[in-house]
Amino acid sequence: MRDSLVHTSPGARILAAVGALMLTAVLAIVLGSVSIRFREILAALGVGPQQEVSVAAVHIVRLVRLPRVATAAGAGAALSLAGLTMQTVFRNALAGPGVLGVSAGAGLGVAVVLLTGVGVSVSMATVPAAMVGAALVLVAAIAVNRAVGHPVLLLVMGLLFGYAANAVTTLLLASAPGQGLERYIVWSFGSFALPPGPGPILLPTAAVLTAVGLAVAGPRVDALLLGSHYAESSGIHARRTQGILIAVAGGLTGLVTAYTGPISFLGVAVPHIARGWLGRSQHRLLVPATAIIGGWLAIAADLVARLPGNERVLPLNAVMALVGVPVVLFILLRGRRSGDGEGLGL
Amino acid sequence: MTDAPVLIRDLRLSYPGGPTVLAADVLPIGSGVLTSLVGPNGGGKTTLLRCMAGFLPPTKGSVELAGLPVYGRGALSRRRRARMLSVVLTDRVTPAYLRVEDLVALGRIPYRSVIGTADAQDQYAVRHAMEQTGVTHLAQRTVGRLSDGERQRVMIARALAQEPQILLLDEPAAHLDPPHQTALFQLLHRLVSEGIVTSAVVATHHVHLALHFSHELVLVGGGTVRTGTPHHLLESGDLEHAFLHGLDGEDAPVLDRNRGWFVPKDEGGS
Repeated sequence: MRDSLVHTSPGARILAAVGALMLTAVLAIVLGSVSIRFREILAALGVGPQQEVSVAAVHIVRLVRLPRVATAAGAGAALSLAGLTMQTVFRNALAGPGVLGVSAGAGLGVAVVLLTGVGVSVSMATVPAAMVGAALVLVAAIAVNRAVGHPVLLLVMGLLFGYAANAVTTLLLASAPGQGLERYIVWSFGSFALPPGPGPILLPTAAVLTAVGLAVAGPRVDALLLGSHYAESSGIHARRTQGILIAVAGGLTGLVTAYTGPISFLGVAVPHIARGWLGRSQHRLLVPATAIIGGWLAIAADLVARLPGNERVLPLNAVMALVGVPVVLFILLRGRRSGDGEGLGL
Repeated sequence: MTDAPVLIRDLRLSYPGGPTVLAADVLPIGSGVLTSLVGPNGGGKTTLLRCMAGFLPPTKGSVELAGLPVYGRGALSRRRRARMLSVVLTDRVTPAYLRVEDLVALGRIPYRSVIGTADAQDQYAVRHAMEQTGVTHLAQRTVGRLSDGERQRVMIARALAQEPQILLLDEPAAHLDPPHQTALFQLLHRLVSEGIVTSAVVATHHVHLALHFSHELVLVGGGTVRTGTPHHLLESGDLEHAFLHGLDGEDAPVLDRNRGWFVPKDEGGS
């Protein structure tokens, strides 16, 4: 295991992950509840002879599967980047996208709209509602960061925000009418099947822009790995850098949660997988690896959730957690034993 | 006097809302000198070091690096300060999968542009810093796999990669066994005497090592500082007094001046 890490360069490993992402994306477009021949899929995508392709096939490929894969890849990459950023800022292996309570805030926003009956009649009311909820929590978190500037305190505040938001959500659930209740529960399962809208383009775009920004700023972000004091002594404005990173990660989390529901667990797991896969921790390498692996796993999880032959679509949330928990546990325990790992410091 | 690597004037230090922890009228840190800050727990060694490093603004007074202010109007930017002064702290550092050479390379951040990659000079500085501290053979190792002694040398290499004039270290020998403690002070002494850094300031509890290796001592305790050569402060009794301040009972130990250790009174000391 050590030898293979030494002999394969991180660049080659990132390329291998790109290959896995592409392959899985192709699988996710080819496989589905309706079976479409490969030639027809190519034709629907505008490749090869167009004569044989049916209108239904074009519709399914272009308007159902392709957006779904794009949403999954974008959401997975964005959440994983958010998780990586939070882990770096808080220097905590268990930090993730939800750590500031942003996803709980988004959940509350959705609950208010669906359960009080305000937005039941509006089809896409959950997206703006979740964004408003997430934004409120994020603004509060940034205000706390500016005022206190202590990452651990911010972490505790995030936890408390999350509890409070969940408590209010539960109160709303308890007094909700049946129809809103069902829609809230379906939302909370998480899904990459978006209703028509800008989501499938917006999420991958946000992920790519963030990845480029983080990779460029990589060395300065690396400075935070040793903590605020070392960062300050290397000429980095630690609190400001942390604030910017928190805003970016929180914004991404809010955006993804608004569209796909609370699936943020992916964001805790993927950075660990990326570190273990590369054997490095510089952000110039970790950021692309995290984005690619995150996108890949999200597509794969969605594929599992809607396995052909399966009558019902499994809750995405549950699939991700069931796959992710053992993976994270394995990586953390292995790292602890070999001395390469997080050094959880708990 | 203004070209002293570090010059502290009229300093008052306190934590927010608290009383004055430390006062120093004038405290120059000379060039070509290894200076040890010694004194009792809670005396303010670390506080003083943090203030020199730029982490803790004084309530009054000034800190200057080579004549340039660290705090207040016209203060050095973080980046310029980072090119003059680097630190080795007690903060535990264990990021996952961070390799030694990558950690040492973090010392080059003050020299890199926002978007640039490491250039030849950066690579040279990293290699050179690892040679100076004898950790070249560890370059590919991850930080989590180092012994305490190795890790401390790596952290010093990171600080040297910053190519500072002034190196500040907070309790660098705290987790090391006795031979490694001595080796560490030997290394610091060599860095100063070979001119790799202009001056080094060490906050330490290891009085015997401080006495043996330092050119200058700064006694920090009882709210004040007192400077002098190890020999002078030892012979005058100031060193002993700084530690035993408020510990005057029958059971109070005394300083064995030959060994630099505190021993029971009935065993005499010197």
